Amino acid sequence: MRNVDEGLYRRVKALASLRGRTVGEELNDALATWLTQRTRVELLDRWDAPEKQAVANNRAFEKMRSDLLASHPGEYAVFASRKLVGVFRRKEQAYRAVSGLKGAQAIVANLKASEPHALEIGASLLQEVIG
Amino acid sequence: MKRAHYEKDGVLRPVLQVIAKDPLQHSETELIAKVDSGSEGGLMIPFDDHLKLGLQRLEEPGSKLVARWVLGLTMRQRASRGVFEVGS
Repeated sequence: MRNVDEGLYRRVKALASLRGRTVGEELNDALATWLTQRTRVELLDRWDAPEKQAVANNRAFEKMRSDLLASHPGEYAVFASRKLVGVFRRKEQAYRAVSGLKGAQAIVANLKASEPHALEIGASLLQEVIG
Repeated sequence: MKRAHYEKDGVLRPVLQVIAKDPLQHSETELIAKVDSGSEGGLMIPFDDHLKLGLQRLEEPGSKLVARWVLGLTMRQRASRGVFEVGS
């Protein structure tokens, strides 16, 4: 297995053998335990569809981004199901357009040049996340 | 305005009762928001509530917003506009 610590793998293999199990079975158990310790599995299942569609919709937006910025500056573009649904002058119009669409995820992009933004989060809230 | 503190590990932390709504105010949920003194105005909500409000269908383009903790940890955020009511 690529990028797996050889010593660790050897020990897992030895233990699996002693337990009469395959390395694959032990790894499946270990991965399931790892997941349940870090998050709720059903939440990951619910995350999956919106995340996949978000990736596709963001790709579609990035392909058209510069053209839209030039042709509709300041307006609102709606992307869903990997396609441009429409461009709207007011954000409320864009929101209403989305409410009639199918799909697990959609993007409402304000067409203006913007840089990635980082939110500074206090240490006390980090404690809430990991505590 | 409803406000309170909650105690964790013997430390009192400020919280606010907030009603979060989607931008068209079709759905809402009540949250207890912890106050970060350095907040820039946003409200971080759990993914459950993001879905409950239907905000996954009103998201801003991805990868534009990153949460960065003072200790250096970063985490990509899914961002959407929303309406938040604080107080009565």
